[in-house]
This record gives sequence, C-alpha cells and structure tokens, in this order.
Amino acid sequence: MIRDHMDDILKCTRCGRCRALCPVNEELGWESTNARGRMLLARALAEGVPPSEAMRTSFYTCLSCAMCTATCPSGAKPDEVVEAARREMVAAGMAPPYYGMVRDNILTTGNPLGERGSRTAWAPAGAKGRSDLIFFAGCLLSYREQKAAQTTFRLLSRFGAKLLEDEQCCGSPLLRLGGEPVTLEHNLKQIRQSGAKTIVTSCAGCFKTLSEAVPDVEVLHVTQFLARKIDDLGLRQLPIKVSYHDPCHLGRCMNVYEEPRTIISKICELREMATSRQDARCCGGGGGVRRGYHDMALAIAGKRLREAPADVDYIVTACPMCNANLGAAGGKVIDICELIELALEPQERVP
Amino acid sequence: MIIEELREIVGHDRVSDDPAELYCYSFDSSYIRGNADYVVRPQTAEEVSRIIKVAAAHHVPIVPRGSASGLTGGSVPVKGGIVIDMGSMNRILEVEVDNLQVLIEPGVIHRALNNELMKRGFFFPPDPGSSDMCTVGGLIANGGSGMHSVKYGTVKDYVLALEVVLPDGEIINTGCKAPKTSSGYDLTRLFVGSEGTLGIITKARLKIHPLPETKAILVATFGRIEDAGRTAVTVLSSGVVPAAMEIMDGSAIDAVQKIDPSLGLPDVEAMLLFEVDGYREAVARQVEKICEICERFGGRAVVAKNKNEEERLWAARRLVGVAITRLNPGKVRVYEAEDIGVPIKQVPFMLKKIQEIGKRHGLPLVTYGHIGDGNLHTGIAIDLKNPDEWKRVHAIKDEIYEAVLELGGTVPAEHGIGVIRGSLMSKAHGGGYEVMKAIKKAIDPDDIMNPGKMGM
Ligand SMILES: Cc1cc2nc3c(=O)[nH]c(=O)nc-3n(C[C@H](O)[C@H](O)[C@H](O)COP(=O)(O)OP(=O)(O)OC[C@H]3O[C@@H](n4cnc5c(N)ncnc54)[C@H](O)[C@@H]3O)c2cc1C
Ligand code: SF4
Ligand code: SF4
Repeated sequence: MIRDHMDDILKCTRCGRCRALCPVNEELGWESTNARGRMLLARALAEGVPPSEAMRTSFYTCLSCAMCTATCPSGAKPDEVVEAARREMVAAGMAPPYYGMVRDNILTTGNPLGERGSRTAWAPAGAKGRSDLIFFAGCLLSYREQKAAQTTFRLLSRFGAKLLEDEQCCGSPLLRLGGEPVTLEHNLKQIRQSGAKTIVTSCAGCFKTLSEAVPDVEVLHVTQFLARKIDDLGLRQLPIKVSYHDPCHLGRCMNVYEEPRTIISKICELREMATSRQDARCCGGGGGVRRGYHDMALAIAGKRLREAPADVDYIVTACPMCNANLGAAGGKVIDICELIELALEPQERVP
Repeated sequence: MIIEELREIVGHDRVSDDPAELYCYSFDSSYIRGNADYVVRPQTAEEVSRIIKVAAAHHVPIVPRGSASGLTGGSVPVKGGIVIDMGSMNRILEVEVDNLQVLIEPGVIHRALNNELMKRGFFFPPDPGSSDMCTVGGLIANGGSGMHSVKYGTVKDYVLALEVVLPDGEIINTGCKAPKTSSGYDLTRLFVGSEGTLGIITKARLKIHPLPETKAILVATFGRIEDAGRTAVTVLSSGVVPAAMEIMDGSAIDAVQKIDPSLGLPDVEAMLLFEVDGYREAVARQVEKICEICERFGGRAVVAKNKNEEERLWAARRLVGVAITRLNPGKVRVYEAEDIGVPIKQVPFMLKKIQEIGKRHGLPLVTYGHIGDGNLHTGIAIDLKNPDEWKRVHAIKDEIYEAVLELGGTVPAEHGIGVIRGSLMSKAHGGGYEVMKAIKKAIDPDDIMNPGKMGM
C-alpha cells in the first residue's frame, strides 16, 4: 500500500533538486512528469485521491534511473516511491496495457518478450548443469543478444560456469512496472538445485534484482567477476579509444563503478563521457519507458550519446538494455564482454 | 471557456486542467498549499501577454512560477487562477563578455547559466543554495542572493534591464544596456523582489563578472558559536573582503556530514567556511590574516586541500537546509523563521538568542547562513503530523522575528515574503507599506497578479 510509504513521501521537502536532474523533466516539462511531481502524486494517492490517467503517465514515464534518490539532500527515495505507486496503479487496474502484456508473456513463456523458442538456443551442448558458478543469462541476452550471450558464457566457462536447467525471467521487468516477480520462486528453486555459490549476470537489471532477492548466494555482475580474474584472461592491448556508459542499475543502484573501468583500461584507452559514475545520465530505456514511451526513450538516448567524446571508436556498456537503447538511437555501442572478446587471441574467441 | 482561449494561445499540449497536474502545482518548498484552475507553459513574451489578457478579461488570478523552490508560498496559487510555468522560456539569448552582460529568458536554471558563463571565463555571482534547481527569474522576483553576496552583492546589484508583461498584458522594458543610469524612477529595481505581484519578467539583462585568478577555501572550527560570530565580525572589520563567509552550528555540520560523509568534518559547536578569491598574492595574504583572527578567538583554520574538496564542501553547504530532515528519523524540515538579517555587529548576540529561544520551546534550532551579510538561517525539523510541534514552530518564529526587528534587522534577508510573512509587512515597513500598496494598486488595480502575496 502506498500509505505505508507516507513517511518516506513526507521526507520530501519539495526543494526541487531531483526535478532539475530528472532526465524526463527535460523531455516533457510538466510538473507531474518529474521526480518531485511523482513524489507529490504518490502523496495524493496516499491521501486518497483516486488514480487517474495523468497519474499513470506520471509514474510510468519514470526511468527508474535513481538519479533522484542518489541526489536527494533530504534522504528521500523517489524511485522506490514510484515503484510503490506503480503497485497501487496495478492494484487499481490502472497500469498501462503493456503491463498486462509483459505479465502474460512471463506467465506463459517465462520471458517478457513472449518468445516461445528455446531460451538456450545459443548455448553449446552441455552448458546446463550443477556448478559453484552459474551464469544467469537473462531474457535479453538469451533472445535478443545471443552473440553477447555466447561471448560472456565462453569467458565464464573457463572458470567452470554452467547455466541453470530452466532459467526464467529474473523478475525485474514486472517489479519495475509495479507487479510481483512471478518467476522468482521458480528461479530460486533452480538456483538451489544447481548448487551455485556464485551467480554471475551481465544484465544490470538482473543483477540488481537477483542481488536483492537471492539469499545465501553471492550475486555478481560479470564485470565484478572478470575484474577479479583480469590477469587470467589473456587480454591483448587494442589500439582503440572507447567511452563507458554507466548503467543506472549497475552504478547508482549497486555502486559498481570501478570494475568495468579496470577491465576497459587493461584493453584500451578509456575516455569518460561528460557525466559519469554517480552523475551518469540514463540511457533512456529503463523503467519500462523503452516499451511504453519509445520516442522519449530514443530522445534521452540521443542526449546520452552526445555526451561521449567525439573521437571514440565505441561506447561500451555493461547492460543489454542500455546497449539496445543506445544502439537504437544510432550509437556505436558494444557490450563489455564483446570488447573483451576483441582483445582475446583469435583462437580464444567464439567461432 | 478559459481553457479554450488558453489552448488557442499556446496549443493543446501546453495547457492543463487535469486534477493530478494541478495537484503538483499546488505546492512550492514551503508548507503553503493552494489549488490552481489551469496551468499554462508559454514559450514567448507574446504568449504571456495574451494569457494575461485572458485572465484580466475573466478577472482570474495569474501566478508566475519558476521552479517552485521558493520557501514562502510565493508561487503557490492560494487564490486559484492560472499558474504560468515559466520553465519553458529557458534560453540564454546573448552572452556579451566585452560588455560584461548576458541576456536571458527567466526560466533558465541558475546552474545552467553559470555553466555556460564559466566556459567563457565568467560567472553570475549571486549564487543561492538552490542553484541546481531555481530559475534565474524566480531568483530575481524574490530579490535573492547567496553564498558570495558578502563580496559580490545580491541579485538586485546585477539586473541592468528587464522585459516585463504588466497585468493588462502590455510588454514594457525597464533599464538599459549601459552599466549605469540616472534616468527616472528605478523601475528595474521595483520589479526585482516584487515576487510576481506587479508583472511577469520575460527577459533579463544581467551583469556578469570575470572568474577570479584563484581562490582558497578555509574551514575554521570553534568550541563556542559566539566565538565564531566574533571572528566573523572581526574579519570583516579588519579589511579582508571574503568572497564568502558561512557559518554552521554543530547540528548543521552534522547535516553536511549526512550529505557527504567523506568530508570528515570535526564534531565541534561551530564552523566558519571562508572563501577568498582574486590575485594569488592577495589571496595568500587574506588567508594568513583570516587564520590569525580565527586563532585569536580560539578557532582553528585549515585550508581545503584541493579543488575536489572545495567543490564538495560547497555542494554540501548549499543543500544543508534540506539535509536537516536527515538528522532525526520521523522529523522533516519546515521553513518558518528560516531567513533573517541583522546588523553584522549583532550577529553573535543573535546566534545566542536563537539557541535560547529554541531551547525554551523544546525544539532544537539548526543555525547556518551567510554570516558575512548578517544573514542567518534557522532550521527546524518536526513531526509534520504533530499539531503541538507546529504550534511551537509558530511561537519560535514570532519570538525570533520580534528580536530581529528590535535589532533593526530584516525578515527576510533573501527568501522573500510570499504568503508566510505577509502579516509582517505592516509592522516592518509602517507607512512605507502603504506606499507599496499604492504602487500595487496603480499597476495592478484589479489585483490579478499573484494575489495573496506580500500581505496584499
Ligand atoms: C535548498 C534551498 C536553498 C535555497 N537557498 C537560497 C539562497 O541561498 N538564497 C536565496 O535567495 N534563496 C534561496 N532559496 C529560496 C529561493 O527563493 C529560491 O530557490 C529561488 O529564488 C526561487 O526560484 P524559483 O525559480 O524556484 O521560483 P519560485 O519559487 O517558482 O517563485 C518565487 C517567486 O518568484 C515569482 N516568479 C517566478 N518567476 C517569475 C517571473 N518570471 N516573473 C515574475 N515573477 C516570477 C513567483 O511568483 C514567486 O513569487 C533556497 C531554496 C531551497 C529549496
Ligand atoms: S530532491 Fe528530495 S526533497 Fe528535493 S524535491 Fe526531490 S525528493 Fe523532494
Ligand atoms: S528514477 Fe530517474 S526518471 Fe524516475 S523520477 Fe527519479 S530521476 Fe526521474
């Protein structure tokens, strides 16, 4: 219930700092579609004002980029309040139509994309099984970025990684939209059966969600795992320059800033974007915005791309969602594991 | 239908009468609330003028609004009407560094203006704590100032000329491009600090300043807050002109630490934060002098190590007022008695008095502010749902204001009057307030411009 969040909502003194830094404010400009406005409408909901169309637009245009929470001087957490408000919208039957679609897809196919084919079509034979180290591929890699899935898994296989017998959506898409993670129990069971001590994922969304949801198992982002193994990877220096885009759910939400940079710097020259680390602008694709407000997602991605130094060969990301959205806006983007692959001796690469 | 007329002017997607949207426009950063009937987001002065004509024809209030970071209810539509959100008029129109001036639209965010100017080696000195979020239009309308006002002055010292839309829709220009003028009544200054009660600012020509060659930041700590006060007074009378001189009491230091724990500030009763700027030799000399004076009053001054530390100190200081909410779980910072100005010499006395008043009412008062201008801020955090604590807040406010006016000071020094201080106007200005009301009547006879503000 949104009322349970009243204390957090009231922490907001409406100073407006998050309003100024909310990337959506620049695009839409209404008070209802910036972080402070979302806090106010959550308050309205909590005070009993019935959910409305404008509230739906307000809550569902949030990127869940956490810029607001990271910068609120008062210690309020607008991104979490928005998620609670979305749950209230779902309960009131006021969620946007794509919420139902995502949920139905996950319930029937185990992924939000509604893909019915094999989740592991990309994987080599014998990839599944019990191991201390499990690679959680995630839906986007499994179905949309299969080359990246292969590359990442090949790297992790060196250290004994296996896939779950029957991985399903991590739960992030539904949680972010205000729903329940209907596949969580299934995944937890799979993880228990796999004997995993460490789960590695290369999606920032899966990483945040699994870190919060899976008890007693170490959950790492692939950049954290590979940074620990950096000297065993056999990386060559490449004569290129790249920039790095900090995914919000990896950086601001989970404080992973250094490991991707450690890896990149081992391979080639890294030039930072105009904003980076905790100040990094969102790619524009998070929080369901890429699905629900595609044009705005691309506009925000375009702004992010303009923050990269002009002379870099690639923008490296560490999240398939950022990769897809920045790519769709015309960016020359590669996943960090694909950059690693470029730096391997040819015989080490995915054929 | 008013909504149809407004749509005709700005287009469908720049007007709203949706209840959820109006709810968001019913607040600013104060505790005042009021419901608008419409919100409009114009993009030109002509559109503003036509909107005002619609309002005048229907006798409905007009409420100009920047970022609503104001602390007084100034941009809250307490009498309903049309809120004009100036945020879309946010262009920097001309930067003339040779003429030391810039022409802007009012919706430009303060920080964005300074980022642009810094690229060319210049800056706009009045720098409120709300630099990240407030519009320059809102700052002008509030007659605001900031951390560097002790050396560089307040916003009113920087406005050369304004374009203003009057309550009948006429667009006028005040001032000129020349650095000074003695031509007629000073209409520019009349609109600075008029809080949207006389007209809507649609353009502003502002003086700008070259960036100093170098600067240094000093953190000085004290065991007793009055000693910090005495140090500040002595520094000013010694001939040093610091670019900034800020005071924080122990709990304000705690709040700063909450924003940026890595600052590692000591646990002391008071701290002064100095900035000196200018040519290298002069800065070194002033640093020496300040250290010497701090020591004389039992303080300990340390120069910030590097640029990064300097920036982090200022960033945390700017937002300390909001961070007071973090000091006690369940308590939220409210803005009352938050902005006072006293003659410099009375600062130590006032610091003590504030502590005493807070103690007597059983609510700890966090004190910080621009001590170099005699401008102190007090922060109170309460349980918003507890009526008794609200009662005490108002009692504290009454006593603090009483004391300030007795000392010949001002309430407020930079945050404006808005709704929360309207009832003080008569007491503070006596016959002068009658003149203000006559001016208001002459310019806005139907009282449609931001009614219910400044006690009008
Ligand atoms: C954390 C914090 C720190 C602050 N620190 C300082 C400080 O150091 N110094 C200081 O001076 N103030 C400070 N303030 C308060 C200050 O009043 C505002 O931040 C700023 O001046 C208001 O700008 P705004 O754009 O938010 O205006 P709003 O709050 O929207 O409006 C302020 C007033 O201006 C009027 N107005 C706005 N735009 C126009 C226009 N174009 N034409 C005519 N009238 C207009 C409104 O009607 C209203 O009366 C602080 C506030 C906060 C929240
Ligand atoms: S930054 Fe924090 S206190 Fe300020 S408006 Fe946003 S949520 Fe509220
Ligand atoms: S999470 Fe990002 S998009 Fe959502 S309100 Fe906060 S700053 Fe805005």
